[in-house]
Amino acid sequence: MNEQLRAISELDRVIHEPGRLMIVALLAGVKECDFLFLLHETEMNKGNLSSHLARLEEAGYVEIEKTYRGKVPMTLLRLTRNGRTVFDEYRERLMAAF
Amino acid sequence: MKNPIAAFVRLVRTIERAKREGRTSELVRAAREQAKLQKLMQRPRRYETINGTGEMGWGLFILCMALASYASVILPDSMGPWRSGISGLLFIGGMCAMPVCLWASKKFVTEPRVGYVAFRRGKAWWLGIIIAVVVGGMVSLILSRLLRPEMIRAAQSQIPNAGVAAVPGIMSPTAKIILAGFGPLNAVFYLMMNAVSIKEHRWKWLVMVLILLGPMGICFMVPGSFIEVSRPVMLFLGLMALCSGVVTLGWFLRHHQPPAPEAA
Repeated sequence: MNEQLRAISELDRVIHEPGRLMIVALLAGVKECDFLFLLHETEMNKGNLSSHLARLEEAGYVEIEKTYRGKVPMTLLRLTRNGRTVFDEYRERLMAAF
Repeated sequence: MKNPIAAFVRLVRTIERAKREGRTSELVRAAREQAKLQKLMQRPRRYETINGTGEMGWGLFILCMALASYASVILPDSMGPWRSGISGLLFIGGMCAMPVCLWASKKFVTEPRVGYVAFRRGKAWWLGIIIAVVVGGMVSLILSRLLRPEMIRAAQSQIPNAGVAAVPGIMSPTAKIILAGFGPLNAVFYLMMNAVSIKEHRWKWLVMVLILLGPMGICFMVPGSFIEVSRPVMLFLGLMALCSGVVTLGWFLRHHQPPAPEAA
């Protein structure tokens, strides 16, 4: 197999999907944020964002914490250590693929 | 990625390989993808200054300092301890303006509209804070040494029959340069506060130029001693930052509505 094709095939498919890539890139720039922030930034609908986050949580890349601020429910989201490593590797592989 | 030299060497090799294989357009595309990702990662940073409350806090701080200084000369002596009390209150208000503005804006303006976000404070951030404190302290020390004769002269001019030829209304060239330097200093600070939002608000470039040149104009046009001229300079700088912050906040409130409540 050609080197370039092999590099592309090695890309993490969980992160490579555009919606999830956007979520991971946004989370990589911050310590943590809430659901409303991601909703505002990604301009996805709640259902889409929830399903992408569930997929990322399942893969162990994102940590989701349900909490309260005063009496208001809040969903806190942060990238796990594994998620950060995988995202860094993804960026390196993306560059290497070309 | 972590080692910049290794990353640079790899980049050079990749460019050479792409040239050899005639795939430079693919390389450009990959670089664009990387730039897009980098931009996306930095996008949340704009929320630190997006609503203009940082500028408002900074503006209020300078404005309170100017008003405290004005209050000490404008208020009549008959007010007794109230005179220094009002000046002191304005001074304390100025010191609290920035943290209070930032806290209030986060809690009541930004978070209900665009959500909660906490930024990563890595080693570089803390190093920046330490460098800023050290540089700020050193600059203050140097300025206090340079302005010492000016301060002594100002104090002597207020003592009746001091036996010293006090010359009110005259400022030394050094003091003039220092006071005019407040312009560039504030312009840099203004640019740092608006590093991201200045791309969306082009009018801020005009404000920056005014902040840069305003103190120079005041220094060379308004007669008086260092303290006398520093009052209008601070008033100007404070008002500029405050107005810029208020306009930015107005824009933010117009363009970011809180999400509609869920239907029951």
